[in-house]
Amino acid sequence: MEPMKVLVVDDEPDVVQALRTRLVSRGYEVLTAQDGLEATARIQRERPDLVLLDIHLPAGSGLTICERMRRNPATRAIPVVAITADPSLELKHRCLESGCCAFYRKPYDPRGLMDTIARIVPPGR
Amino acid sequence: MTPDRIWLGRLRPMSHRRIYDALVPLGVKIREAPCAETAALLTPEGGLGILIREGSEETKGPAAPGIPTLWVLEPDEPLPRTLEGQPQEFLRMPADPAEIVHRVRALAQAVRRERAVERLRAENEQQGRLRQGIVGVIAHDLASPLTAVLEYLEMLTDGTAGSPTEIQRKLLVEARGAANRVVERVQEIVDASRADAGLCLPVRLARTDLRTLLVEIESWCVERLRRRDQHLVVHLAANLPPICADPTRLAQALHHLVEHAHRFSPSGGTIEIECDRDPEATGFVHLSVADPGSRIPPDEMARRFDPFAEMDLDSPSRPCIGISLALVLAIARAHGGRITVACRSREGMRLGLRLPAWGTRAARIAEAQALLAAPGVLPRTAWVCRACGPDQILSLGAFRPWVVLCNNEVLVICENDPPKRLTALGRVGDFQKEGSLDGALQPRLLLRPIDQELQGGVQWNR
Repeated sequence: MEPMKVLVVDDEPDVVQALRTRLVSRGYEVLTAQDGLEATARIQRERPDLVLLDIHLPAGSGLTICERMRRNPATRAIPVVAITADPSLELKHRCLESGCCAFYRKPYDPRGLMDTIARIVPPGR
Repeated sequence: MTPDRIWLGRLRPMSHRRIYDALVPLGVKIREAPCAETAALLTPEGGLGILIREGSEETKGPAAPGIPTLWVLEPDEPLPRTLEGQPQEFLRMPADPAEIVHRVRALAQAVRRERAVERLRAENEQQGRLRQGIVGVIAHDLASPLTAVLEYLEMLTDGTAGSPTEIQRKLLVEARGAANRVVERVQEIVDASRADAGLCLPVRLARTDLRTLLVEIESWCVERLRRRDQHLVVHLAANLPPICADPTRLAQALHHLVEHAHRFSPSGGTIEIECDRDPEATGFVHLSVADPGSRIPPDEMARRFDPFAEMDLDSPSRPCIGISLALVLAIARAHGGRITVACRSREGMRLGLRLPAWGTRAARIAEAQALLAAPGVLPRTAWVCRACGPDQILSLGAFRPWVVLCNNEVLVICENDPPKRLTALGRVGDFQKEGSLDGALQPRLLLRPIDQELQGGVQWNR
């Protein structure tokens, strides 16, 4: 069974490594990107099954990436989960309006995030 | 205290002479001003100019905004039309020179004081925003490493890295508990800084039974107090009404009040939680925590409500950052209530929360306030109210129930589609508006009730 591909977009190496370890142990194939440009390129090239997207990124905002994905018919259907450390209260609504299907604020409950991921994209095809 | 300029407007010759002669010894520049607008225009920026003019029929007219005015009246002359809230004084002629000078000085003093308060308020707000920004950056930078810590702890606990032994599992539970407490603390610091910047905490108000809430937190309180051999006593009134509150936030406030009492009371003491209808305010419930042992001086107590106040390290009480009480104050305000503080030398200290009972006007105001302060409240559609006619309604909420301004009334729309039922909460005039109404597409208001006559939401009982 082919594993589902999850793209983790975050400029914090600690978070990327922790999520990679967790997701691989659950049977996902993990791709990573550390800035907006790399994320956009990987989304176009790899067409992941799910994107875990930090909002504040070098070379591009996560909101912009999400809005672009929604406008592109090829990537419109890829679910996006926003994960951010931004304490601003309005950001959640902006993320949901930009097309994110879920929103997590760091530091989040790890079990909650994994349950959401498993619901959106079960590990195997 | 004298003004920088004195402008003489239209005055009868006798009054003009008398006033001029009385004010010359002040050493202030005295000039003629054909009208109030000219006086306002020619007063140097930042300076204080006072216009002296008659309030007679011929010259009657409103004062110019921004120019403090001393109205000169004949003995039986009625008061002139003036701008409400405009700094002004009245002088009945004939008046002796000392009276003339006194009126001018009194007006100058009042205006300078008002400006100083306004300057201080603006500085405080700016500092609050700056602190909020700094705290936001710190919280942001802490969030990612904390996320990684929680992720790894979770992986160790759930067997991702192999099954932990029993001792390892217990240690991991302790580690996760400590990590979660760090997360809570960071969030509380962010909340306190938001409140310090004048922003309202988001709350989800609902009908709340205090009795149930107190039962839920009692075990935590008892466990906490046991560390210093302290005892908890709870007094609940028999006929306690339900209140309008966010149970999570209220529990958070109670935790902090009990923690405060626990920390500053001597070992072996008794902490009392009391809950009753508020004897001083109809329609409110008073929830208080008392510890007989507190000996914190009142002036130091006041600083504990400032999350960024420096504490004197030589103070008899333990130095701490005032996040706890600042947060409790913010929670009280978000509920449309206030904190009460009673310091009595022999009886220790009692900190309390005055909260609106469910269904009261104060509770409805708090609900409107919470809805308007909710994050992401953005206008979606402009509706026309059929009940009031084709007047403009601004839809302030993207999420139901919508809070709507209609003809200066704050209404709650409880239905999804075009308004079928409108519940009047009160008039906008009852609220103190903050922010501005930019137009139909971008209204954004944070309303706070101005019927809280005590400043800052803290009531001091000496």
